[in-house]
Amino acid sequence: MKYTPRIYAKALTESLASVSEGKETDIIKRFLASVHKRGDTRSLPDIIDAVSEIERRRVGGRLVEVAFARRHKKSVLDVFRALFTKHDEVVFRTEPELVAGVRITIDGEREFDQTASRRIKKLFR
Amino acid sequence: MQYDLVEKLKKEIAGFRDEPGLESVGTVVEAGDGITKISGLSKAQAQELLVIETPDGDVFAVAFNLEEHFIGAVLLGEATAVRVGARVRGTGAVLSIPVGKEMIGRAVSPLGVAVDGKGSLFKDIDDAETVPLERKAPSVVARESVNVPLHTGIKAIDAMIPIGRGQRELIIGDRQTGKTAIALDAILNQKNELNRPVCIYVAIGQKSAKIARIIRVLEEADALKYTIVVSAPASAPAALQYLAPFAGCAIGEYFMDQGKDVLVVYDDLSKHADSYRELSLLLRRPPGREAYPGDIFFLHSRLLERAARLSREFGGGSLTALPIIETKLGDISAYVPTNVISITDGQIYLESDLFTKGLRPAVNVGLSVSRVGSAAQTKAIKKVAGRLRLELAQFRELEAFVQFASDLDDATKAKIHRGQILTEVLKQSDLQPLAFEREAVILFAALGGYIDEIPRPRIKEFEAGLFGYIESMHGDVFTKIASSRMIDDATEAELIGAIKSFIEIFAQ
Ligand SMILES: Nc1ncnc2c1ncn2[C@@H]1O[C@H](COP(=O)(O)OP(=O)(O)OP(=O)(O)O)[C@@H](O)[C@H]1O
Ligand SMILES: [Mg+2]
Repeated sequence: MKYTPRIYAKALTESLASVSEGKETDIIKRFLASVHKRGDTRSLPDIIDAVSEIERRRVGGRLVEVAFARRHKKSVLDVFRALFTKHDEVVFRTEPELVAGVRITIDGEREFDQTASRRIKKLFR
Repeated sequence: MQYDLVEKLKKEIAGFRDEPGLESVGTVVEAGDGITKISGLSKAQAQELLVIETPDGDVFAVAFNLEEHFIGAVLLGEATAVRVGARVRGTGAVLSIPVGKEMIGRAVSPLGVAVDGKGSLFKDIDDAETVPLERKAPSVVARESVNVPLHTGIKAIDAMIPIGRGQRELIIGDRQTGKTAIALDAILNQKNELNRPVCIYVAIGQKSAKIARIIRVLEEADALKYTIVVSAPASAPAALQYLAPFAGCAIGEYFMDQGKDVLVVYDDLSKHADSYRELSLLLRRPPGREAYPGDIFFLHSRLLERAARLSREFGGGSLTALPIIETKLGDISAYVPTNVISITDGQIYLESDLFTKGLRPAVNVGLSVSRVGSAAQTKAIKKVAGRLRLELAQFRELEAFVQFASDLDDATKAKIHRGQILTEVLKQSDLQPLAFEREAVILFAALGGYIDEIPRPRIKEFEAGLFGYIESMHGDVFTKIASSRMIDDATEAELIGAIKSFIEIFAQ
């Protein structure tokens, strides 16, 4: 049975939680060796994503994706960042096909869509 | 024209409300082979219709596997347009199709879209009723026992394996043994019926050319005007082939609920099982026997359970199902054939041996049964054909025995001769179904021994001649049998007279 990134991530976070202070580096080293041994090195980015998701969930944070049609100044982005708590992970994207406006997606599950592309689509449905 | 469009659009814009709010979404994380894995949408229901947004427009999918972190969904449209990262929205509705009487005479896809190039089905799609593809079968309380015959117009079947309205009768046999021909004849024959059922032919995984041929046959025989073809050809995604019988059944139920009789042909459930196996393997469901998923039995039983004869309080409609199964080298003990045999109320077993010998329809009478239909058999046919099965069985036995015996007594010779005549009478080409009163007349003549002297090669010619003679000289014989559904003593006397005088004419 192949290990999924989620299983790796769960194993790693649970090992780290149970280990005594200062030994974390050893754990991570052994973890990486075991991933390598199974030939899953390519899944490392997914594993890291899964680890941060588990960590985020633990502290009650959410993954927030904010998508604009064009690039914005940092001050604009800061306004959006300020809407969420420090546990939330806020990522910004630029997607020209949105035409104008903003779309916010929380945990890949719930979405607040105020883009022109969505309005146009709705109008012509 | 252009002015109209502009005005319409302006009205739409004026009335357009876009309430801001949170919506559920998901994201495609894997796509390929007609299936996709979706993250998010954790509240989706099984069989929910999903919409995937792609640059080329929306593609529909059905939620199939609900797992802890992902949904396995099968695509119903253009699979190549769906890319990883695409947005997915739930519709909150399980898969359903628009239905209506406008569908009669048309060919439609399993999603209820016209595929015959004759324009859209409904003038206004909002006027059409929509029904879910999957629905619970009628309960025991709503049902009544089968009591009205469904005449197939095929002598051997109507006489020995009678089918009743609301029954599930399996047509099973190897490839090219005339399975489709029997189902098609049953549809064509409904033209001869007073209370004519709506017919639905569901084509699953067949070549498009074959489906086109069937539609042409229906059209030429003037049978398309009461028939709906649900088409999921071999070139269609496996998901559509999987949905096709459920769509056919849902359309049938719409008419049954209005108190009408419906005949649904599933051609064939072997290919249906294959498409379900394909989807299940792609979705990594654990394979079972012959690599079919464990719930393949449930798949076909929940489909065929929806065939029913409703009691009068529930409108009195009926849905008769004729599923077709293709066997390999006559093996009816393979997984899917045994399943479907055990679900249905009987089977018509076709044999390639008989077919190649020219005994067509190639029904193996010994292995074919109809477990509920005899209660519904028309009296006229029951009266004349009661002995048919027995006489044929005796004939088969003797026929085998004669190969070793040198001299036979006259009684045995007569039995064999009668058997040969009956075998000849039961031969029937495809696309030539007979109204039941005609079946009754020719079987009456054969079993009564009136045509024992007719040379065997001329039996078909005699049959056609007799029908023509009775029609022109004793027309009321047919109409009387057709309306009373039996042969009373007066009609019988007239019939015997007619047969005898035609034999004299024929001999000249
Ligand atoms: N009773 C019959 N008399 C003469 N020819 C027949 C008869 N029944 C079927 N045929 C012919 O035999 C051929 C095969 O029939 P049909 O397509 O019905 O078989 P099938 O079992 O459905 O085949 P497939 O496995 O390809 O679906 C057709 O050309 C058909 O016209
Ligand atoms: Mg066929």
